[in-house]
Amino acid sequence: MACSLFHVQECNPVKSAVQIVKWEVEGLDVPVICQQCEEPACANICPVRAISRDAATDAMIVDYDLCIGCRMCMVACPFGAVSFDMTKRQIIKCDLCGDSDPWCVRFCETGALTYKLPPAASMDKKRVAGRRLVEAVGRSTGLP
Amino acid sequence: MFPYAAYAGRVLRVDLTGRRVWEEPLAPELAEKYLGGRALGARLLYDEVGPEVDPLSPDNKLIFTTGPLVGTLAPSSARFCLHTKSPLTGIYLYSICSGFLGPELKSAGYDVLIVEGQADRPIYLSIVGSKVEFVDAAHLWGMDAIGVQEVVGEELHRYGEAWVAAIGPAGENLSRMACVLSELRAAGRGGAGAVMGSKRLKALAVIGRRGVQVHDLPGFMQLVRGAWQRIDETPFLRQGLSRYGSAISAGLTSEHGVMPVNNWRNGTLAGIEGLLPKQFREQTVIHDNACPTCTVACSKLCRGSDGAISEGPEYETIYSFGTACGVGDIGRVVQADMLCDQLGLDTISAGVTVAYLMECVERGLVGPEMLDGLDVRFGHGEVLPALLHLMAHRQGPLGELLADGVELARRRLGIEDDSFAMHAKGMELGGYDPRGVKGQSLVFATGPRGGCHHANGYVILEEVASGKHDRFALEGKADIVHRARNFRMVIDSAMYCAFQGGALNLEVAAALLNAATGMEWDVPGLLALSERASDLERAYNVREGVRRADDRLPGRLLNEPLPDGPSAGHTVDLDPLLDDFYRECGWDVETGVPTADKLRSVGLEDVAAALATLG
Repeated sequence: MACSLFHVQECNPVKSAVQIVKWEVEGLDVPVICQQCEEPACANICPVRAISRDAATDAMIVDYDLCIGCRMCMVACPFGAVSFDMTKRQIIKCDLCGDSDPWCVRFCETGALTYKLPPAASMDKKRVAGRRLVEAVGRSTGLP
Repeated sequence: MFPYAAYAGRVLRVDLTGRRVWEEPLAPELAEKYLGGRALGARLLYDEVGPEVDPLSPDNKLIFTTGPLVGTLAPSSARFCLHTKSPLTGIYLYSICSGFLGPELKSAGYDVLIVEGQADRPIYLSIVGSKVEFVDAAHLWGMDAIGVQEVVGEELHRYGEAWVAAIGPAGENLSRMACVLSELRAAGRGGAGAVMGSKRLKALAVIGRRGVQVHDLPGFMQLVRGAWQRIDETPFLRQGLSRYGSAISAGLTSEHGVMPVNNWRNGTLAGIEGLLPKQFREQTVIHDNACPTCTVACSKLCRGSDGAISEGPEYETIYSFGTACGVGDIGRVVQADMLCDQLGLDTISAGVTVAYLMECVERGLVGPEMLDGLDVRFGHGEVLPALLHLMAHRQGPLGELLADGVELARRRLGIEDDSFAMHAKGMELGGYDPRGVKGQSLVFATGPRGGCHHANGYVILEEVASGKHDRFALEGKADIVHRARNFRMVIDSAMYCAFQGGALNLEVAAALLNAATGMEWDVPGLLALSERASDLERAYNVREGVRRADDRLPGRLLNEPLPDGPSAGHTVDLDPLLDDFYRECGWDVETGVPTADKLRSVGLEDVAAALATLG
C-alpha cells in the first residue's frame, strides 16, 4: 500500500505495482512485481514505444504521454506484473520510485522485501551457499 | 463533500424485499459523535431496529460499518463491524471481523452498508464500486462458508478480486449460533449468520477501486512507522501473539486455574499440555498468517486430526472445544475449528453447547436414546465432528436440541436448574473463569452483547499479569473494567485490532485518527465518545427490557467453589461488583439504567428522553 500512497496518494492495494496473490487456506502469499527484464516483453510489444529503460535506475518506465492504453504490455508480461488502473484508465507498473529507493522496501516492516542490484543479490547468495559448503566440509572431515 | 478525509462519506442501503438500492450521505455529525465501527453502528442500530423487531424477521437489519482507519495503512486496521439484533440473545449485537472486506467496502465508496428486508429466494449481493446487483444463489445454497467464497470470487472474477462474507449451512438453517465468515475469519458471536440466513442472503461480495485518501500523508506515514515500532517493542505482541497467536492466553489462564474445564466444573485438566502455547506452536502450527496491514501475524494455520487444516484455533476455541469439553487433544480442536468455519458456526457457542450436553449426559438428564449412538462424554473429542454437523443442519432430535445454544437447549430439555448452563443473557461465556479473576465477572455480567469476553475489554492482563492487583479481591475491579471497556470502545470504533491495544494507546489512536481524517481528537474526547457509545449500547438493551436483575452469571460461578487448581475454593460475589460498576458508569444502582443526567452529559439527550418514557 506504500506503493499507491507514493504514486497516487491513496491507500489502495489495487493501484499498487506490488500485488500480493494469496492462497489463504494454504497460507501462501506471493508478491508479484515487475522484474525489470533485460528483454522486456512489455516494451517489445508496445506499439507506440511508450516503455523504455530509465538511464538512472535501469527500471522500465512508462511515458504516459505516449501510452495509448492498449494493454498489450499486460498481455505480454509473463509475470502478470502490469496492472490496470480502472479509474485513471492507465497501466500500472513498477518504476522503482524513480530513485532506486522504493517505497515498498522502505515500508516493509518485516524486511521481507529488500532492494538489491543483481551483483549484490548474487554475491549474497554465493556467500550463503559458500558458508553452507564450508560447514558441510567441516562436518565430513572433522576439520574446523 | 464529506468534511473529513479517510471517510467515504456515503451510506449504501439495500432492501432485499423490494430489491431496491439507494445511497445516502453520511451525516458528518455521526462521524464527530460516533467515529465509526462499533460506536457508529450502535447509533444506527438504536435508531433503526427497535424493541418490536424480531431478530429473524425481515425488519431486522444487518449494519456493516467501517471506521476512519479502515482501508488505510494504519496497523491492523483492515476490519469491519456488523451490527444486528441478536437471535441468540434478543438484544444488542455487534461483531467484528478482520480481513479485506472492510477496506474493500470503503474503497467501493461506502462507510456503511445497511441491508434490510428479505429476499424471495436465495441470493447474493455483488457490490462492484457503486454498481450493486442481486445475484441468484440457488446453486450456492447448502454450500460451505469457505467454498462459497471461492465460487462467488470466480463468478465476479471479470471485475477484479472480490472479497466476500458468507454464511454456511448453520446460517441457512437459522442456527442462533451461526456466524458470518469472511476469508477464514468470522463475525462470530451472537448469530448474525442466522440473520443473513433469514434474509436468504447467502453472501455479499465487494470490489472497490477508489482507495482511501488520508489528510496529512507525511505525518500519517511517520505515525504508522512509530506505531510499527511500538508493536515491535511490545513483548506480548512480538514474543507472544506473533509466535503463538491468541493461544498465548492459555499459558496465563491455565497457570492461574481460570481456564474453564469440563463445562466450568473444574479448574485443571490432566493432559492439557497439547493445548498450551509451547506444544501448540511446535506440533500444531504450520504457518503464520497476517491480516492486511498487520505486522504481528497472530493467525496460525494449523494441522489437526483426520487431515484437517484450519486458520486458528484461537484461544477461545481451544477453551470451548478443548478444556470446556475436557478434550486435551489439540488435533480434535483444530478439526472442530475447521468444521465450524465450513459450517458457519461460532466456535465459542458451539463448544460450550457441546460441553453442556456432555454434563447433561453425565448427570443422566439426556439419555442414550437421544444421542444417535454417539459416545458423548467429557474428554471424548471424537464426537465433535458428528455433533457439529448435526447442529449446523438441525438434523434429528439431537441437532434440533443443540442448534440454538445452551439456553435454548436447557429449555428444550426442561431442565429447571440453570446453574450449569454457562451463558450470560443467552450468550455462551468466553474462556476466563471469574471465580479466579473477579473483574471478569463484570465483563460477562454487564457485557452489552451478553457473556462475551470482548466488549468490556481484556481485563485479565491488568488484573493478573500486571502483578499490581489481588485477582480474588473485589475492590478496584469495577475501575479496571470501566477503563478497559472505554479503551476497547475506542479501538472498536476507530477500528484497529484489539490485540494491538497493548502497543497503541489512546494517545497514539488520537494522533493516527487526526492525521488520517483531519479531525481534532484528544484523549478526553475519545473517552467521552466511549462513555456515549457504551451508554447507548446499554440504553438499547434497557429498551429491550434489560435491568440489573438481568446482569447475572450462572449459579455455578456464584455458589460452587472451584474444586481444584490455583483458584480452588473461590466463588463470585456479584452484587458488590455491580454496585461499584454502575456507580463508575453513572448508571442507577437499583435498576442498572443509565441516569438521565449521565445520558445528557454525554450528548444523548434524545436517549434520556426515550428512556424516561419506559418508566
